[in-house]
Amino acid sequence: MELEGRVAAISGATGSIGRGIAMRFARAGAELALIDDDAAEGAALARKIATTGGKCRFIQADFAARGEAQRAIDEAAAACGRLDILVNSNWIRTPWRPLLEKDEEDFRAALEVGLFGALRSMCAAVPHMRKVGGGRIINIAAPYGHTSLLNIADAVTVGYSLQGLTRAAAAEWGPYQILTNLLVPSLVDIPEFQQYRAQNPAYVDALIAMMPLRRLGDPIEDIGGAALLLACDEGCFITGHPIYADGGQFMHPATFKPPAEQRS
Amino acid sequence: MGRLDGKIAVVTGGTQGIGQGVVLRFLKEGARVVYCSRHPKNNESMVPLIAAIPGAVERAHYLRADVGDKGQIQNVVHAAARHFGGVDILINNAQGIAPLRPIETKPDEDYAMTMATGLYHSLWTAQAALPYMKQRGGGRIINCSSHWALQGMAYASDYAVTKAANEALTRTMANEWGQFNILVNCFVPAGDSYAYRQYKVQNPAVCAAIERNIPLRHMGDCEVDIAGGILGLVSDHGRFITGQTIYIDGGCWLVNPAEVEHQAGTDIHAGRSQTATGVH
Repeated sequence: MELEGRVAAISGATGSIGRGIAMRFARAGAELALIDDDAAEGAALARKIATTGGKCRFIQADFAARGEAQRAIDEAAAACGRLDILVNSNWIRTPWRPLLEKDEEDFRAALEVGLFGALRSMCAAVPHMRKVGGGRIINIAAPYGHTSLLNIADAVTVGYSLQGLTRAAAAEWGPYQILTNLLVPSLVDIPEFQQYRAQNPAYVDALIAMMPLRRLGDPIEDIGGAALLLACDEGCFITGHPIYADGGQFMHPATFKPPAEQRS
Repeated sequence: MGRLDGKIAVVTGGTQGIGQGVVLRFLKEGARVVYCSRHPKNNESMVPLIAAIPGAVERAHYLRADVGDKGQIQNVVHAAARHFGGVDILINNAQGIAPLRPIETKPDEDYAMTMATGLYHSLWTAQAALPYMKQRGGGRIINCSSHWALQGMAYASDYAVTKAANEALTRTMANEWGQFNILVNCFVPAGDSYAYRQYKVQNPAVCAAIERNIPLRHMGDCEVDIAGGILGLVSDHGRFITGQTIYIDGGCWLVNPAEVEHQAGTDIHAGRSQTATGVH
């Protein structure tokens, strides 16, 4: 029960990664505030976690809208009595296109959700974390930012921008004992990846055969476990850097080539 | 329930600083630990510390070994298998450190000693541990790097190349042995370690600047902070993290305390000779 007595807010909680982290944190004894713009999925996830004995509430918010992150974080801290941990797992899917054909709007939308969502929630969380003597911020970046992928320049941009924000926040907020890290999950057994695998079975089989651990990651045990490392006493001196929970895949940068039918 | 219940760990350089912190933390988490050092006298302070941990005395086993000697250091790994029945975790923490000297006056012997006690030691222990880890269905290996390797700190070229070599070895090992469920990572500490304390005595202004600027405002406690990060990597939580360099450093060097430069001549081991064996 590594997170007994701790309150964790998880944004993008109904996404495949956010959900995995939420479930792992609940098992570790954390009280959870799940934040997402999908009210139905959010409520369902909160109910599911509650049935496993976890203490959990859902707060609806769309971080891409100004003021929403602040409201949701303040609401979470007020409802739970404190805030110790913030996990940001927000991203949107944009069409896969060569950079020269990419719509500038895709960049804007991806940054608004991924980067500005994290920025707003992080700043909102700081006063609450300072009240309890410190905290942990874990920003999730899609692996597209860190392995060489074609046709997904906006996601790559968001990934690296999150790394920069994480580093700067770690440097500035360290004195408040707020630790900020970037977690990069890759090759995770989630519906989005299984969809891609169904369309590219031979390629994905080759990827898995090449990566060191020779298996896909489980969102709860593998990704949730890595997030838990950063959130609990084990992570008490780790701040400012990217951590890859990817079975070693980053050593073989994947070049995800979208099949013709994925170009929209 | 300890996080390392049932696990058998080998820790090199286990009687001081970071190694000591790891041994004690692992014992507190239920592991059986074999650890070594070059001077048995340095184990005297470990005895009461281990005795203070419930049930730890029979779970701890000390050997004398020179990490620069292939036979001696591999024997430490075999001893873990003999004494406790296997090896699950290997922490390659020990490192000989030669006096700081400009490149042009650093003798080949310094490079040989540093590489032997750093890179070769990490290679030899891992080679010895491989069959035991395979037998146990997997394992965790942790090697040690340093900010000094990343930043090319002046007058420590031998140390820098050794630590960078450890990082590269970590990646190749992770790549080759991942298929056996053996995960290999490297850590970069900013700890209140034995080496840091020696360095601080001889470079007080540099250390004052580092400690003033480190974001978490203190050097890492060896058992709480540095061993904490290492524990995470070797525990169930680190089960999908491999081939990486993990900074357990309180954000050190995110803010650059480049106010003072250290002096050539700093000697961590204050004149005690570091002999290199087993490297040609």
